[in-house]
Amino acid sequence: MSLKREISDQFFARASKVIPGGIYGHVAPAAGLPRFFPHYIKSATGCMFEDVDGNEWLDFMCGFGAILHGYSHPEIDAAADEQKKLGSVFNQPSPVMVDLAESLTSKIDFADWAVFAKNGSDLTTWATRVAREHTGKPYVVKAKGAYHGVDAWCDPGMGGKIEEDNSKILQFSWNDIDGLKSLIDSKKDQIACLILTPYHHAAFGPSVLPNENFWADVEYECCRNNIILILDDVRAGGRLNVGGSHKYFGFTPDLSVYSKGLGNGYAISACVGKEYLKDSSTEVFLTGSCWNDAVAMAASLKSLEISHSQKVANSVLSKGEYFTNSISEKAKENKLSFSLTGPPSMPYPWFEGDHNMFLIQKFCEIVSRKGVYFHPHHNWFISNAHEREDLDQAIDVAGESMKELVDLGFS
Amino acid sequence: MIVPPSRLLAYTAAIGIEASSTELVSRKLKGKHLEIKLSENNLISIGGNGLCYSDNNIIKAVKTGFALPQFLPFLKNFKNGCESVYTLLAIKKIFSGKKSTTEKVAIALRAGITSTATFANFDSQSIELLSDYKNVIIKFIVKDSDISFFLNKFEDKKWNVTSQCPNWNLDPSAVMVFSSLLIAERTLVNGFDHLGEIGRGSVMVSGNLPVLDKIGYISRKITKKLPLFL
Repeated sequence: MSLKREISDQFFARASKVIPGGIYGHVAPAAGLPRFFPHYIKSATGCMFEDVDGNEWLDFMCGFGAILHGYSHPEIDAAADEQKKLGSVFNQPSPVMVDLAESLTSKIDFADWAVFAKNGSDLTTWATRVAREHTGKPYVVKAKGAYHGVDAWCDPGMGGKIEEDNSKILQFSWNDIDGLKSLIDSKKDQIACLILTPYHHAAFGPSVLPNENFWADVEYECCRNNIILILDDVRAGGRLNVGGSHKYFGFTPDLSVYSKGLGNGYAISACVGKEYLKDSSTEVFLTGSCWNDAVAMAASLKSLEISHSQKVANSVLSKGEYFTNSISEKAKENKLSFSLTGPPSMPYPWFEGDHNMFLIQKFCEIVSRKGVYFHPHHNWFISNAHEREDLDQAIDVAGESMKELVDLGFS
Repeated sequence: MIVPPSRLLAYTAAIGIEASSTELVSRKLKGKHLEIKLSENNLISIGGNGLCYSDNNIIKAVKTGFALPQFLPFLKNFKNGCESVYTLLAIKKIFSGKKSTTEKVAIALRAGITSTATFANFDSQSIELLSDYKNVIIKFIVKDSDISFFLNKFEDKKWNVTSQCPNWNLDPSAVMVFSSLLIAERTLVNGFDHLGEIGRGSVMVSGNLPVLDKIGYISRKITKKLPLFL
């Protein structure tokens, strides 16, 4: 069965004339399944969305993670609507900014202050600059293949780059503590910060959890070498532990950046930090045209409140565990070496030996024909709106699709 | 072999001509294989002795379809030079045709992919971009035609282009399918909307998309610097 896509294609034809590539970035058709995923979406509620051709989809991408509580969450939308009546962007910030900063600093154990922007990139880059300002050192260390945003120092793309963009960026392989130590030794007293995601969740490859002592070793090396530890919790924040992913893995960063789970679809990001970095943070200029947007802040405040009152991180982890275990069972039944890597609330699908990804692409293609949205190259997301019956439906579809895959000769 | 950065574009242009002649011969069309050789004094010989161009003129030849060769070598090896010119004219005639014929697309596509392989082998930025890839086979197919090419690299060897799978024991790393001759031809022209064509389904990609993405970027970089006179 092929889903309707005439209207999607019509929009794309119009878009191609006025928007470079039609759709760009991580949602560009080329990055997914161009002829199986819709190009445009009309509406979404809970864990379902409807594309412009009227096809209904059971979703496992949650706006690439921007949705934690479910699409069009009534309480969060109501909080945003309430603020909208008062206005969104003013000459000065709204009081809701203070409320939100207080909420974050009270809920995140190491956080003494908070600042806000719109996207993860805005603040991952800013955090590295705060570290440079504080330490007076130039180098930034990151893990190879890790995504920290679209600024020149970390953008995974190829165009518009010059050598100097990366001249002060050092990389080591995730979990390779010896590699990290050598890197630190090679640039003794020149490294300002180490920026890491809580676990390695690069696109186009299985997620890798930290080894048992990884975070303890990282903390030790940072402390010993006066390197500021920045946690890029943009994708995982709120999905592993309500107080931040550092709590899930048992370590303490100096700065941490959040975005995706924070506003439940309202554009906002936050960086929180320890007291000793507060002065330096004021020296690094930070602003943006709509960064004081009170509507997104009101939505975020409500989103945080719900995350805590409903223990959402625990909830999505436990839903994810049921989901990933059940799909793994289906894979076993079909004698497929398939695993869902990474934490269960944001599993990345991987067929063993499928390094060129033909198998996962075919699997997601078959699944898409049944109205379930599994992305072949990015981790999936379980939202708190996924109910048992939604998960069961997706598990059944996954099982049927695996059988079809085997019948087609894939294994 | 080392290609100095200052000569890379001219070398790539010449390699494109050689690849065109390879395809011409493999399709049993009139002409001969034009092996190219970098010489000193910024000269490149094409098809053995006789036909020799300056670096600047070989670039001009590929961009516009015409450039003057060096006179002296031509006069010294008149017969071989004439055979090489004849082959170049045969390629030009095919390229100049308004219709997207199988021959035209096959020759142009082979030239384009081979040019990409050349940059992958000798351009420092491209080498860096592809440094993580050791064993790669990328298959290019034009639907409803007999055209297929394999851009491949094994271990420490150079990137290479073949019309048969170089190793039947290995599956391709990625596959790019052009839905028609016209679409395949368009990819070789500056301004090709690669994201748009994939979104529309006129170009289909599968497999290892990151390597394909990088190869595509290198190929577009060459097309900007060295547009074929298609």
